[in-house]
Order: sequence, then structure tokens, then C-alpha cells
Amino acid sequence: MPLTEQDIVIINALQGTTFNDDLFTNIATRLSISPDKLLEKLENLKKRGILRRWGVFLNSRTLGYNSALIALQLPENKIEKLENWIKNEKGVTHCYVRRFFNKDGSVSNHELASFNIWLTLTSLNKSYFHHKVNRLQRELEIDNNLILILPSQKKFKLRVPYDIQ
Amino acid sequence: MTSSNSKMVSLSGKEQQILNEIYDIPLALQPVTAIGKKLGMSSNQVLEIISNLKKRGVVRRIGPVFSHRELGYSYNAMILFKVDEKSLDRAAAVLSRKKEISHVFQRNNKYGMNLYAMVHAKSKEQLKKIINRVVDEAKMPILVAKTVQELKKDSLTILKEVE
Repeated sequence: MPLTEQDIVIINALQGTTFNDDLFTNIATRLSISPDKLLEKLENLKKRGILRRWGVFLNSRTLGYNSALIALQLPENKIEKLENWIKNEKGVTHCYVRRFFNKDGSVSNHELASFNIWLTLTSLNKSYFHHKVNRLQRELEIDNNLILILPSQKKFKLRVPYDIQ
Repeated sequence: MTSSNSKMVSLSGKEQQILNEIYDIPLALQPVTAIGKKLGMSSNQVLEIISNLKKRGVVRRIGPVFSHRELGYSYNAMILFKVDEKSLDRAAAVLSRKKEISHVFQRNNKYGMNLYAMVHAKSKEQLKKIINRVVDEAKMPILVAKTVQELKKDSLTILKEVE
């Protein structure tokens, strides 16, 4: 079900709020609807998967968590097994299958192009991180030359990918 | 894995409880009081602990988390650049200024591609346009990794390792 004009009006009104007891009452006033009506609309947005949750954005760095981008060379027939593995692993937040191209749009045969799986793994600390990677390699039978661990030395930008309007 | 100078912040039991409660806040009136009641705290206590967590940088913000796919952004690509160390900050700054680019990270590795950027778009055509714009402006080696399948996309939660 695509976004309606009404949805967009509501979504925009949800931006820039402060978390306190009047949170939803204030938004309802902003939209000139009753608080109950607002809650109904929010539940609807949640049911449709548009609003995933109302909640906290954590800073994994401040928490001292260790995280890295991990690339894998994984054959097609192991992807389902991988999906199940990451489903149960809370430390994996993102996982994508990607295909590499050159500047001119042609298919790339760069060494990195053999890495078709790209995921982010976060863990409480270095030791747990390595533990998880070992488990991933063991359970999916991934040799050392088929996995690439890419921690970041510097973060220049980190934003949500959407622009509501 | 991330910079070695990050020190671990320790969370008290009360803080952990609150962080668990505010991951997915129930959509109801007086949400703070509701959390307080559940945890046996006053709403002021809850707000004070959250404020403290914000000051310490543990909590970035509290608000609506949308599915960018449901908002129409179902196309994304990772663009990789090979930039020499001395030009890195400048190249990253140029990339960061573009609003279609959401993430810019330095990731050194033996294959040479050390700057990673994420782009998101609402259509195949739009993605192509954005990538072309970025690629045309850049003079250094580039690789474009288009996402063909999303296997998982979730938010980070408080981790409890049990191994």
C-alpha cells in the first residue's frame, strides 16, 4: 500500500519531537486531531511497516561496541543458510547481496567484485567479535580467503537514507 | 575493530532496563509514566536517566524509525573509492555534502578501495542518475556495488553476549 498524502502529513508531524509524557498529545494538537485518533494512525503506520518503531537510536561507539563491515564470497546455494544465521544474530544489523560494476557501468572483475555478501556485524567487544566471525566461518564453511573484515578508521557521515518530503 | 581508543561505557542495571524499554516504545499516552510504572520509577527519574544517557553519548536520539523501503527507497548502492591518504578528508567532505549520500566511511584494506559511501534512491533510474553524478565528478578509481537483494535490515539493540 503506497504512501498517501495524509500519511506524509502525519509523518512530517512526527519529526523533531521530544520524548516526554506529552509526546503524542503534542503531535495530535499539531495535526488538529484527537490523541486517540493519532495513536490509531500510528498503529496503522506500524502495521503497514512504514513506522518500524518509536524508540532509541544507540551510539554503538560510545557503548564501546566493536563493529565492522564484513564481505563474503558466498555461493548462491549457501545464501539461505546465511539468512537463517543472520536472522538469529542480533549483532548483524544489515546484510546485502551486491554486484560490482565499473565507472562505465560494465561488470567489474576487480578482486573485490568476488565478494557478493556485505554485512555489518557489531559485538560487545573485540573478543566476542572474533568469536562471532569464527562461528560464522565455521557454520557456513567459509575459508579465510573468502572473508574480508573492514573496520572503519573514520566516520565522515552517518544519516538516515530517506528524505520524508 | 573500531578505533582502539574507544572505551567501553558501563551501564547500570536501571539504565539497561530503561534502554530495553525505549527500544520500541508502546504507542500510548503518557509513555514516560508507563515506563516508570513498569520499572518502579517516577517519570522524572526515567527522564533524568535518559537525559544522562544522552549527555554521555549513549543515546543519540529518541524518535520515529521509518522503513526506508516502505518510504520508497528500495534501491541502494555502495560506492567505493581509492583515495590517497592526504586527499581523503577533502574527498570525504565533498561526498558528505551531497544529500543523496547517507554514509561515508574510511575503510583501509589490501585491495586499495578505502573510502565507502552509501546512496539510496526511489527508483532504478534515480539511483543510476545519482551514481553517474558522483562518478562523473570523481577522478579517482571507483567501484559501484549495487544491491541486488536485501537479506536483513535492522536497528542496533543493546547486546547481551552469551558465549
